Amino acid sequence: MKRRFFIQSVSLGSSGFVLGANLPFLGSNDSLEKKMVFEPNLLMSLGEDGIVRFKYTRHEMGQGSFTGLAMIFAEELGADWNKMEVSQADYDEKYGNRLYGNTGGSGTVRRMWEPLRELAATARTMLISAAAEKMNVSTKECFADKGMVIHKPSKRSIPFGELASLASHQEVPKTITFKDVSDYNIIGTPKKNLNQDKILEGKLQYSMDVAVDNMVYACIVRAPIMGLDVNSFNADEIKNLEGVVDVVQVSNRLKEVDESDTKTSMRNGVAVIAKDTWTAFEAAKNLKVEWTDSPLENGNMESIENDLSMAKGNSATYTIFETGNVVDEFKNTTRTFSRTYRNPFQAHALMEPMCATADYKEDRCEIWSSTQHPNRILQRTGIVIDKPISFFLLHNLPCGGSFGRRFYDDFITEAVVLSKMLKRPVKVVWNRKDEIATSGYHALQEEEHTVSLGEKGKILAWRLREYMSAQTEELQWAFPFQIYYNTQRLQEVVQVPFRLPIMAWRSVQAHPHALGLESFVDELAKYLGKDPLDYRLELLENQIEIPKSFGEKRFEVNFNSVKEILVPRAIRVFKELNRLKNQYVASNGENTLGFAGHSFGPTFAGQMAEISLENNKLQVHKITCVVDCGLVINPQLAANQIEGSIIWGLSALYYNNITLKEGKVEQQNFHDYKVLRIDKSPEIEVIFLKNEDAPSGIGEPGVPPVAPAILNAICKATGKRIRKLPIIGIDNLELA
Amino acid sequence: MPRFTLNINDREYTVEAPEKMPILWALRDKLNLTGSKFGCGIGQCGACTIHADGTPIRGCCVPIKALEGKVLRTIEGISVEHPVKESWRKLDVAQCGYCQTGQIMSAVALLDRKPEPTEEEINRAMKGNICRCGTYNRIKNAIMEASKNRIA
Repeated sequence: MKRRFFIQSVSLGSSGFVLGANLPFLGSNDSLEKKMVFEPNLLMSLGEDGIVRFKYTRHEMGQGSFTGLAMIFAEELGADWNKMEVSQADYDEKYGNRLYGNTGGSGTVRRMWEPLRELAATARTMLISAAAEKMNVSTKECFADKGMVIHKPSKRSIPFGELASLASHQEVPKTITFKDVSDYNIIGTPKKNLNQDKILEGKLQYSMDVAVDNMVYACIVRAPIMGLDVNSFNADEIKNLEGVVDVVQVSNRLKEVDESDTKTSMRNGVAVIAKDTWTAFEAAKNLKVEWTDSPLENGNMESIENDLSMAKGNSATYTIFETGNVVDEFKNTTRTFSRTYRNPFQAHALMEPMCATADYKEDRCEIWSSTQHPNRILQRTGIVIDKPISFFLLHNLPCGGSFGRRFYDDFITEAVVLSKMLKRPVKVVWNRKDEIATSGYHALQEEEHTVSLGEKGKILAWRLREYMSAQTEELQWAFPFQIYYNTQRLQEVVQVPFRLPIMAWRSVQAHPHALGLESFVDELAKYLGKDPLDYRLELLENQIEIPKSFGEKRFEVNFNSVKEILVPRAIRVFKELNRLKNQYVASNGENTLGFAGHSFGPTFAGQMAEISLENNKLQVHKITCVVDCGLVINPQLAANQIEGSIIWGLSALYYNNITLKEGKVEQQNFHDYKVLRIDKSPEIEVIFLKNEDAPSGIGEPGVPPVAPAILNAICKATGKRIRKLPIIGIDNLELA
Repeated sequence: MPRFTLNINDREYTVEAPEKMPILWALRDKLNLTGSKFGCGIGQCGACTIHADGTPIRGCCVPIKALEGKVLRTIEGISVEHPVKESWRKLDVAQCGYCQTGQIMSAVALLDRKPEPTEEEINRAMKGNICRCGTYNRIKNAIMEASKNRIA
């Protein structure tokens, strides 16, 4: 296979992607050791010891790509899995966006699939030519496997370690060939999470565990409403408390120096600096801050309801896409069916609250923290202190959960600003209240579906109006894709001036979208007297042609290519769910079943929920998830992701609800912001459909179908339809 | 500042700290035993679970002073070959791993008390430990597995 990328990288020479292959001694001070090393690219080095040292250039948050990327690389290289040493790379612009871009959108494996295999295949080709030279045979008779190059006819083999030096002198190949899927012996196997042992010892270092010499601890009392500033505070009283080092004001000057959006950057506040975390927390409790008047109007739930109902009459702020002429159809329609679904504000409630340590010096600022988007946060933090990205050395540590939260710069900017101010290393530790009450949130959003119906219930036009915060537009990369192209459609957004900062949250826009769409299709099927699964397949199998290009330019999405991937996947998934349903019915299962399916990126996941209701006490017995995500790199870790996504979706369905009073978030901790616990965890079964296409992402697709699948089951069992999250009362369900 | 003598993982430690400081922060900020985690500060999530005389306690809520003279155990004091750690490893339970040290401490205490817990007993003992990655089913299975292996 001829790889265009390789021809490019060879001709560019200094692109940095393939580095040092022809220059093994480049920049080396320890040339004796270096001579024995093969460093064909920025991510790999091979020593005479035969150990392949691989650098992980993304952020590990529990999703397992630390292990997954190493597996992909080892597979394509022909390495011995037990001789891989994987480490986290500090952030460096030299990697470029292709190798060290953001970690999100369930895209790490998807985006690294090609570049990793290109790098590994290049290195393998060079190892093979080194071995062929050594054995004096043709490269065509050799292959690499389990850390050795093997000469097929003679069965002679040379371990990688013995080839390191010679390989570094080989020419970089102009073309490479990828391994055939049938030869894989690492990809597709349940390799253990590489961090597992360290986790069990309590030795995996998270941001919270960082300690550097001369460090002080900061707890910040942040503006309870974004945009408020500090008027005054009781500095003297706090400074006198034992263990308190200082009390200082932190101000977000981002807006003054740059026009960038400040809605997710650090809040104004007052930082209590102390000799340990607890003393900082305790002193902060005694801090009394007077805030400037709110620049925002009052933000109560009533005013949000008002804003929403006002918006119902507004024309669209923008159109996501349109096919045909939906507006005209609705002018002449004689029969419509319309329903609206609501998703509330939700917090991340990740287990490890945000934390960052910074050591600001004249020539460099060193940071220890965890971020999904190092380039973005360093660029934005750099604006605040007027420094370029290259001024920072960021150690991107694994985190205790992120789910979208660590895309944003606030906590890292805080540490940098404070360290600069105090001229010593500062560790900023968020407590749980900070994380729940002064953060950014999954958007409150309404989805209004309306169809115009003709003879025999044929859909003549389908309109979706989405009522959402203006800020949600920034999450456009996560706008969910359609699968039902059975009729002319219009999808438009009406912006509503909600007052909370909005952030990415596991499965982002697919969550409210699935709630609306997959509940609506179920309701429509019932209204038309059809079986919900049959009806979905009927819609999927009767697609109309869609124009080659349509829709809002800003979304830069080729809807046709998405349709080509997703529609067949959706059909396969719903057919499998149908088979499971028939099997359940044949086995005389007693529980009520509900179904839903949705995409996240190119992955499609569908779920079957088995529930029962006795005296309105809801019991979810089992959720079976059918997933089509292309090739599965690690079935064990992939199943973990789906299981975790379902638990996440259940928390959102049962409990998660951020509410406002006078603009402030009312919830403070796990007692009033509840999440699912072990006793409510249903049985979960995960089925991956066999598919050898490129892997398409696994971290989020399990979330969106959870709520609609269960709500559909509840409706089937009771005839009552819940259209609002969270549901009220699991043990005594409030049914409309 | 007052000094306290603590018995942690069969070793004696002396720590200078405010009287009301919870043991979690003495472990983390003073003794560099960072395996016990901070999650909520009000005993709601269980990430800080350690043992005092074999009983699981929430380290974020119990002051050091109350623990003098008690035998304390943290995740660092549970052997690598402990059946609970073995089964955690076998089922690849941890995702981000942040809550897992607390989960393991709760599970070890449960099995010490009840070597063959029912599902109901597991739920009751583990309900105080939150996991946002959603590893609950694997935790449950790992506890049953460890129970089997301890008895075998």
